[in-house]
Formats: sequence, structure tokens, C-alpha cells
Amino acid sequence: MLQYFVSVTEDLTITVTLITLLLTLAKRLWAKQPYAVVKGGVVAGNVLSAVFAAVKSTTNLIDTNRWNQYFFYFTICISVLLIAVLILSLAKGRQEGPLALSGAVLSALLIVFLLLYELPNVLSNPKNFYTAGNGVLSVEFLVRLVGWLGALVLMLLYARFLGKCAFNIKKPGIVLTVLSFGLIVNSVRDFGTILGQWVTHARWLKWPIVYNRSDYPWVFPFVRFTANNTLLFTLIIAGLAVAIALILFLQNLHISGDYANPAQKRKLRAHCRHNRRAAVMASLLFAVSILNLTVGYAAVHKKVELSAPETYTIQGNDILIAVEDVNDGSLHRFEYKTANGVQVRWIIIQKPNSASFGIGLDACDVCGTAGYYQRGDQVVCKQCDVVMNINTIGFKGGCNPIPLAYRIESGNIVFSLDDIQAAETKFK
Amino acid sequence: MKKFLALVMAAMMALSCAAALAEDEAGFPEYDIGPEMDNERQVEFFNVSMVYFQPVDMEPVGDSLPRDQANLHIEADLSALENDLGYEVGSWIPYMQIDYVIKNENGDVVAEGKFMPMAATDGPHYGANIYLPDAGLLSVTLTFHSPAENGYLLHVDEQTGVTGRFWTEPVTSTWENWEYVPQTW
Repeated sequence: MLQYFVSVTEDLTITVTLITLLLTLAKRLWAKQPYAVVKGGVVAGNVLSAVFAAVKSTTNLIDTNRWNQYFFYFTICISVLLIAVLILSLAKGRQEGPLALSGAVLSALLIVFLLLYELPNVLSNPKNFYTAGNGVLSVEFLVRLVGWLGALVLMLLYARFLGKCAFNIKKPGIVLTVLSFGLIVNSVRDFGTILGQWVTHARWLKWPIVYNRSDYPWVFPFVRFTANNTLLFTLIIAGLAVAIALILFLQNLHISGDYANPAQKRKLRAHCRHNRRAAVMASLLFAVSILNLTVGYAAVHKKVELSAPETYTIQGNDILIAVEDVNDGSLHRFEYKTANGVQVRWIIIQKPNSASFGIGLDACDVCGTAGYYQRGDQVVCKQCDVVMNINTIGFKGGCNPIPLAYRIESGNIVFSLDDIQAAETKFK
Repeated sequence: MKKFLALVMAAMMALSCAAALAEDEAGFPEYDIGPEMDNERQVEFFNVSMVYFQPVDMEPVGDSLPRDQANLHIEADLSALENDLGYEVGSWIPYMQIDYVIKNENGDVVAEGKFMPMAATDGPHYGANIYLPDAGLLSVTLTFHSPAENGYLLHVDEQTGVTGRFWTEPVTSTWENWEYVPQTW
């Protein structure tokens, strides 16, 4: 669940921030018609992204890196033009006419390209929810779906409250400043990605100059900086946007303006309260996003270490493990080095509310020798993160541990060394 | 205005669909590993070409990462050169084990494991889904175990036997200065 909650937030925070500010500014600067064009960009961007996602998921027609390259060219050029048009619009105060319309068309196009870069990937995520043969009704699928939808809801709420703040802040110039800076920072990031294709010698890139490090020593460090600092770019762009919320909060600590009677005063006070709430909500949702991108990211990419193998007794051709050593409901791991030097691992766990044991190799036919680990009272495949049904451990199939023969004698779980030896083929 | 909006949307959709259909090199773009596309080298009696592209679904997943947890599929394409072991020139070498270690500039191991034998539309190869989140100057070291280690036999009699023998100790080869940049697939 967390994996998709994090990845969707990572993909969309910058895009959602820029589009929200752009939409709000368009609403404040221009009349209904140009504003409708900008909104049309949002609709077109979403529709095209869905088409892209569908084509990407079902055909080999789209080389994403190549397409992104074109999107970045447009995004950078349009950003520069749009900043100029927005500044002129604000300065001249013209809500209609050629300037407003050209600004609206540029905004709509920018929104389309911003969405086309990030949204198809997000919309394609559900096809990855299937792991190890899980169906759409499996717990794993539904849990991932919840994480994915949760992040989309988070982004929508963040956009809603950030939009309210940007609309209600007293000077639209603040929004324009933040948006311009955000677009410039975003263009720097895009430029790094463009150069990334040059550095990696993308075969489709037909630039006349071939990259080599000795001639262009500054390029790779720049590309590396932009590639490895997604969080920094997100913090700068979304952080600046949240500054709008903070300014709005400060502007609405006390009522301002004249009022003729107590009713008007109550109305102004309610307006201030409404703005403060929007500012707090936008800041909180920004904080959740950042927490998601830091703590959540670390949790998702935390490397799981398998617990150390435990000791046992070898008697003749048998391995003996005392029942009392493994009947605590926890996962126990054992290991034996075969004559060929292969480490064969197996696991034992007492089944819930039962005297029987779930026993199998610490490997499965689907995910190989990655192994299983204990998370709370669950047994989880380290490879595919699927939670095992402890009651079915020992049975064949799916991501279950490969069954290993055993018998229980005189208070011991007994394994034949021949069986352990034979299992080495699974661990080679 | 509604007509204008509809026109804009239709134009954009038509543009994107036409461009998508006009793609002549679309599909699975491969990227070479190694500085300035120097991704090929000779090891023993075969050529090794190192490439990477988008993570893929494999069945079974084996010791590799599932597609949604990886960010690239890396592979070593092997093709036999002139040899006295009976391999046709250009053919794949089965039954090998190839271990990989990827290190960053500081010498820290950022990924390691073994390439598994597998087949794709472009033929058999050794490869794995891996996760390399950070751009950096990397080195990739491959250790090639002889097919004999996995029980591959050679005819050695006068009439049908081959004159060559497999290498007896694993051999390694390192691709230095791989300017790696994570890709969006």
C-alpha cells in the first residue's frame, strides 16, 4: 500500500502544485472565456494521459523517454513564454483580448504537457498490482489499490486547498512570483532529464554532437544532481507554494476592511476563519506529502534482512529440532551447508491455534530463494511482499514455501539430511 | 467557446495519436552500459554485450525483483566467437552462471546477485530486474562461471569430441565508468 502511496505522491506533487497555481492565476487574471480554455487544458491533459496510459500498457508504440523529451522541449519553451505573458497580463490588467487568449492557450498547452509527463505512469500503476498471480480480488491487490487511490485523494485535496489559498491571497503578484519560480525550477529539472538522454547515449537521440565526459565534464554532475534530488525540487516548488498558504494565514489573523454593522463584521470574520482553515489544510496536506516522500520513501525502500539461522542437532542422517524451541508462534529459520557448499534454508512456524507446524524451504517456485520474514504476526515473502497464510505454509502452490518432508518423534521435528541435500537445487 | 475547446482537444488527441503511430523505433529501447557505448568485450571464447532497459515481468520471478519493485532490467548478451568447443559462431552459451556486483564511485556495493538465464523476443540471455534509484558513476563486475560447473558436458572422444576445454576458475570482467541515470520507462 505504502509503495503506491509514496510513488504517486512523488510523481504528482510538483505537477499538481504548478497546475493548481496556474489555474488559480488564470481565474484571477482573465475573464471567463480565456479561463475556460485553461480548464480545457486540464480536461485534454487528463484525457490524453489516459489514452497514453492505455497505449503504453497495451502496445510497444510508445518509447516513454523519447516522448518525454518532446514534452520537455515544449514545457521549457512554453514556460518561458507564459511567464512573460502572465507578467504582462498582470501589469496591464487586461482580462480579455489577444494577450489573455494567448496566455490561456499557452497555459492550456503547458498543463497538457505537464500532465502527459507524469500522469500516464500513475494511471498505469494498477497493472502492477498483480504480483505472484494475485487476482483483482486478492488482499494484496486491494491493499495496493487503496494506497494508490489514497495518494490521488491526497493530491486532489492538496490542490483544492492550495487553490483556495492562491485565490484568496490579497496580491495575485505573489502567486505569479511563486508560479514563475516554480516553472523555472521545473524547467531546470526537465533540462537535466533532457541531458540525461544525451549522457546515456539514447540510440534514438539524433543530436549532431556525441557526448563524452572529457569534453563536457559539467554535464554528468548536473544530470546526476537533477536526477538524485527529486525531493529537493519538490520541496522548493511545493514549499514555495505553501508559503502562499502561510501568507494567507497571516493576512487573515484579523479582519480588515470596513464594515457597517455587526452582521458584516461577522461575515468578514467568517471569511478570515475560512481562509485560515484553507491555509492550515494546505500546509497540513503539504506536510503529509513531504512526510510521505521522506519517511514513507525510507520505509518502502528499507532493506529487509532475514533473521539469523538457528541451531539444531544432527544425529546420524537426521536433523533434530526440539519442538519446544519452535512452538512460540514465531518464524524460525534454519540452514544447512551441503557437500557442494550450497546453503539450504528452511523455516518452521507453529500454526495459530494449533499444535501443528507450517514447515517448508525458505524459498518458493515463484520468487526463488529470497526467503520469508516475520512482520508482526505475519509471514511475508521478502521478494514480492505477499503475506502468507500461515495455515497453508507447508502446502504446495503460489508463493508458498516449497514443502519439505519432516516427521515428529520424541518431542523433535526431524528432517532427513537426504531431503535437505536434495533441496540444494532450489538454492543454487 | 465550447466548439473551440472541443477543437483544441480533438487536435491534441489527433496529434498525439498520429505521432504515436508514426514512431518507427518504438518498443523496448535498450541503453548500453559503459562509457561512450563501449559496452561490448570478449571474455574467453564469447562476446559480452551489456545493456539495460525497462524492468520486465518474468515467469517465475526467480531471484530477481518483481517488475514493480525494480527500475531496470539489466542483461548480458552472450554470443560465441570462433571456438574449439563446438559452439556455432554467434550462438548463445547456455548453462553458465553469471554473478554481478555493481558499485558506486565510493566502492559501495549498490546491487549484487546473479543473472538468470531467460528468453525474450530477441533470444536467450542472462539478466535480472534490479533497483538502482540514484544516478552515479558506477562499475559493473561480472563473474562468469563455466557451463561445466552446472553439469554441461563435452564430447572428448576421437570421433565426435571437441578439442577445447572450459575455463576451470571463474573469470571476471568489469565495466567501469558507467554514467548511470535512472530512466522513466
